[in-house]
Amino acid sequence: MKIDYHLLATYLNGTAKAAERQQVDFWVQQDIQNQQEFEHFKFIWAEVGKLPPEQEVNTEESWQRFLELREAKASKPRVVQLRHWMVRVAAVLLICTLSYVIWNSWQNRTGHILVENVEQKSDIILPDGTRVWLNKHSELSYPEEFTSTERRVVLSGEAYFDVTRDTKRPFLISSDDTEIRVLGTSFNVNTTEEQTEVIVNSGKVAFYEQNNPKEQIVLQAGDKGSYRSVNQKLIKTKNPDANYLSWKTGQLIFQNSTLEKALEAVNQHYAVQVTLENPAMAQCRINTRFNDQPLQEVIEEICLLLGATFDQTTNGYIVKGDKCP
Amino acid sequence: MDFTTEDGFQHLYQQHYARLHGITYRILGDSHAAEDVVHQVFLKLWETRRRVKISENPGGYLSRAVINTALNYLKQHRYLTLMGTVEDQGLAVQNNTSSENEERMQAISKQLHTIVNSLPPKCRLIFSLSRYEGLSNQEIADYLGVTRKTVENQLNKAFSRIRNNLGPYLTYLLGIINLLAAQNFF
Repeated sequence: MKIDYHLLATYLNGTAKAAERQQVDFWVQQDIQNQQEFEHFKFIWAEVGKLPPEQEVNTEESWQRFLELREAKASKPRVVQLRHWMVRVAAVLLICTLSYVIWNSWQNRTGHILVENVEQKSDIILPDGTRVWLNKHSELSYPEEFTSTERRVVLSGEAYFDVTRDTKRPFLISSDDTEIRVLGTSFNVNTTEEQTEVIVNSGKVAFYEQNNPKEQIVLQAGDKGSYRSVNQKLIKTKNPDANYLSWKTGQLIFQNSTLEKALEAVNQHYAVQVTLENPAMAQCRINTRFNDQPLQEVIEEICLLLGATFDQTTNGYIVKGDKCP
Repeated sequence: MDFTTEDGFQHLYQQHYARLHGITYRILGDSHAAEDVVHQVFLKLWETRRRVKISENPGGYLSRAVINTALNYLKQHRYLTLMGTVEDQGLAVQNNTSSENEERMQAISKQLHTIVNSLPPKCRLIFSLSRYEGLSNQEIADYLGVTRKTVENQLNKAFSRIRNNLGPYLTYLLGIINLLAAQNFF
């Protein structure tokens, strides 16, 4: 039978439990070999015990060194207290800052208004008097009270802003990646997952990526700024779309417009698919205006103007004709 | 004696210093470091003397405190070779013996000390705590923050190593033990 050596250690240093001691005793008495092995260990244990010899210590001398050490430590209480004092002030400041931050964020959280449009549009007056027309399927969130330094709103979807002028508090519109900064102007913003478009009606608008505000483009009346999230590029062009505000005004105006462009605007305005049977008709020109009319009336009038006919499809109409009039 | 007074504290110090220094020295193997550790413990005790209640068994409290402090010290100062200086001093035990048997005993003793000193640091520390401080395996485990199983394994390892390395001397050892037994018998 083998014995676990660690049992011998506890046996020899006196910390073995009764059962462990019995185990060792039993092992020792089993045969002469075990007895010899046990004697070896007892010898080893005793020999090792002579090591290391007690260090020569001079208790009196170390007591003197201890007194010096104690003295040195006791003569530093001022520094210690100052440190304590500073730590306390720091702690109080930290608590104040934290409470402020928490209070502030709580305040912001509860003080926000979220307008979520599904199938309706809405016309919102913000606390500073700014007027916002919010399109269908769009969301606008803004605080009950703007701060003293800025007027910040968050937009997802499409909205037209007529911003009350306030040179001390810029008006900021954040969407996914971009931000628009204005002082007082009117403009349309349309955000989708792929892109954000800003079309300016009056005044000046700064348009930039949220994480890169220095590289901004400045847009003026008639300008269009686009940001595509695919390549993260900001592009400024002249706005070619006369009907960009049709969603707000209900008006569709076509002045010497191609049929292709006109149907594009109709499709967007009514969210339908009106297509051409004959691609050759895409370049036909039309001049007309519609004022919040039902889709069928619009299609009928376009066909009348072009001498064409139409059929209803599952999600819109198909316009049929041979050539431009 | 009331150790919260100056006199009482000095008395406590003088009564326990040598023993505590010994404990710490066996763990750290450095006399200066040992004094530092013991002084740290006494300094802390002095500063908190009105709050701590150790009058029941001050010796036990101080032992535990210096072992803990020494083990922390060891963690912070890894360059310290555990019990590194023990070997040399171990040889100076006795020189005034002449009998052949005792010379052999001394040779064995020397060899033994070499073996103990060459144990891996952790193994040696556990062996040392068991041998010199008389701690149970569970206590050692608690001090070092390891499992009891680890302590047992390390002790097994220490004994195996010592036994295997002492192999060539064991014959002498047996002879001596038998001889001594015979002498006692007759």
